[in-house]
Amino acid sequence: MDAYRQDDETELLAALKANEARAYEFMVREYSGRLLAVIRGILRNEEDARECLQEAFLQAFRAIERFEGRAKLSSWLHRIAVNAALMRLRSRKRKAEASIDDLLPQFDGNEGRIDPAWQPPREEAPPLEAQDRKEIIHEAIAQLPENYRNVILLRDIQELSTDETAAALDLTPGAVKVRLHRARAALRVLLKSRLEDL
Amino acid sequence: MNPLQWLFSLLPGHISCDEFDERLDAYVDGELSFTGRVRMAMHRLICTACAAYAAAYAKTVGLVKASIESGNDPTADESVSEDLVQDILNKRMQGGNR
Ligand SMILES: [Zn+2]
Repeated sequence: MDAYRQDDETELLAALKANEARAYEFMVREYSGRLLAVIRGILRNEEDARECLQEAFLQAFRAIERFEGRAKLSSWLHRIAVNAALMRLRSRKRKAEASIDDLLPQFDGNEGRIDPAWQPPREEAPPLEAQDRKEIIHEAIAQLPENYRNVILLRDIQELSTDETAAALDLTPGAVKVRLHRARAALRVLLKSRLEDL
Repeated sequence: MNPLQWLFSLLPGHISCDEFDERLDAYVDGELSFTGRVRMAMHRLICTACAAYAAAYAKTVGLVKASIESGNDPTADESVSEDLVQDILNKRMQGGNR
């Protein structure tokens, strides 16, 4: 099978948009290993992970026409795969999307921070295994509304810059900063109630 | 605002809790100038609420970053069976692509 260049994806993208079978085969062979590893890390069930990878690729096939190449194909696919895995986890846990406004910090009119001062003491629970902690974090990310979750995935997981994230999501850098801040603040609240050491 | 906070609020370079919050991401991501960092550190010294908030915030960011593979981990198990690859390609042919 002919290979496409990694450093310049223009040719591959054009072939995908032209619906060329060999381009699709190249994409699936090139990226499925990495994506499956990422999905396995979230779902920790081989059967589920395989199904999720198929789902993610089908979503990508449907969306490729609208993909403008402002981000790398690999980071675009990564985001689709992680979102698919998180959504699967969310429905497995029957968790609903959280409202971001309820999770943001508040300030008094005097520029001071208001934090709920008293919180009921938590019951003594056995310490969490590392994997369970990860699952709690994944659930919290999955609870974020999609436009906040995408910013977290690009900025904090893929470690793209603000400008790269803005380009990938077709937002202004200012909007990326605002969403990142809200998403992180919301995650702190979501995790605080479930992780003892936060 | 407690009396100590009020006293510090008179100092040059003082920032409010609101401003502390606005700059928190740049602080956590290491993007503030030296002066910016000093102002944040000063605020942490006088405001226990923001100090605790910033610590938990930074920890949250660290936990989130470590929780999902970025897709660039050379040690990750990247094995995919040929039948899975074929399944995906077949699904596309079955009209899953449009
Ligand atoms: Zn403060």
